[in-house]
Amino acid sequence: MKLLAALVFSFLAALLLGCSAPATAGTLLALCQGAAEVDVIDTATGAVSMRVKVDKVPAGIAISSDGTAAYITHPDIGLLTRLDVKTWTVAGTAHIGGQPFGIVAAPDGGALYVSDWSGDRILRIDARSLAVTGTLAVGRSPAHLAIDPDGRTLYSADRESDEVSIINALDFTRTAVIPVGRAPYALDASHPELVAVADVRSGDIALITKEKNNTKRITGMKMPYGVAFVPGKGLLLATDQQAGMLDVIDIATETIIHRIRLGGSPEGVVVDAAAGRAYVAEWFANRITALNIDDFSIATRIPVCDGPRVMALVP
Amino acid sequence: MIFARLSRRAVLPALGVLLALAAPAQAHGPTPQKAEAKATIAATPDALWKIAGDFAGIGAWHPMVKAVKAKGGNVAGAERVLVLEKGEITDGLDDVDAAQRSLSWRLNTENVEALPVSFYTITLSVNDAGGGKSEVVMAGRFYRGDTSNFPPDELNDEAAVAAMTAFFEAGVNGLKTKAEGK
Repeated sequence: MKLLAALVFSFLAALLLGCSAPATAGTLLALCQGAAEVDVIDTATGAVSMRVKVDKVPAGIAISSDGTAAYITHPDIGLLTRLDVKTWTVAGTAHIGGQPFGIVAAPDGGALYVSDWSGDRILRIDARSLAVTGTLAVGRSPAHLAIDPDGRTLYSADRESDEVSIINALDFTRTAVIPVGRAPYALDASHPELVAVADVRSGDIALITKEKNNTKRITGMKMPYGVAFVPGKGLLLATDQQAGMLDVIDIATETIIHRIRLGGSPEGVVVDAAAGRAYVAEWFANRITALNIDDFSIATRIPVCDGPRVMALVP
Repeated sequence: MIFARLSRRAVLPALGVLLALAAPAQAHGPTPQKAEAKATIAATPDALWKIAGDFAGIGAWHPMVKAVKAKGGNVAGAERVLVLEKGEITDGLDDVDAAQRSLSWRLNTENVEALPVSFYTITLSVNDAGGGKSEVVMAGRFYRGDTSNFPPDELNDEAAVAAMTAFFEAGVNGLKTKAEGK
């Protein structure tokens, strides 16, 4: 009886853990444009624990700062989806129109910011009701967005204008326009002093200083599509899709110090500093490659749904 | 001069499509598509690369390419005009990596009547398949001919994927025929 009780208890505990595990630390979401699917990856085991179907052509993903919701853009159908991160079900959709693409969530949980690729504007959206609460004109074809950890400043990669728009998130105004390389696409503003911008067509990374908006460019790539800072190490990671590489950049010397051949058209990159891992979405190969950030060796390769372009870590 | 005339001719049909739609398409949409084709070829990687690695030489092996007008040699920045059945498109050479036996190019001037895509990047690579054989891979990232949210059927994602897949399959099979001398 004792054994049976222990077994039942273990079973219940496993069930409970099974339900709550995806919402705790160690969860990575891979968004697949082709499959119209979110794959939930348990980073401890490196396995896909759940596959969640969403509406067609999902392109951008952001997680609420409290880790309870994931927001997904669908540019081809003008749609925004809210996914419940506890139940992994679609908790709401909103037809916001245009071609919603890049998305970030304000750290205080109140607003979402979404780029409208063909509308040349940013939409501010109430995170609870998904209602549009404001629009702001930016440059042409705004792609991905980034927001400062303090929530005060928003950055938009205005791809066809070759510029980054700097936006005061508090009063939702465009305060500066910074020329970068050709076709800026993705950015990372998590660094305390710098914003990194991947310039796809000129094949470089622009680094913008937050204090004075000065820029410098790190060259030598073919088509960079993703950037991510490695906190505390003075390093920046950049995916080079055309070359099939992940490049490791030393920020102080502005040089590429390491190149890892991945193949598979690497696009999105995220860093899980606490776990010592970086993850790269390989769009063509339909896999996520995990690397150890101490030596940039490949830790594991995770097969996922068709067409993974971006990822998000659940806090 | 030839190039100016060619690009004007290529632009006119695209303009017609744009006017008919009354909703301007963009060169780049937010949602790329992908396609690839592979073939195993009874030729050494070096022998195959000699044929496939020549940017100007695609007319010698690709059955859908009726003629090629190239300038700029075999280095990044070179251009070639491909005459296809329904019109011309212009490619720009991005990268030649002889060590990896890999050639990458992009669409410089679109012509959705000739090929229903608004932009592409293509990589052709030759891999060693062992035993004196090679594997050739043609793979591309591209955007549908009309990147608005309401494309006509002939310019949607499915049409783009079908056309690029057909282009790649004809390409790798054409290389096989050429390299194997059949």
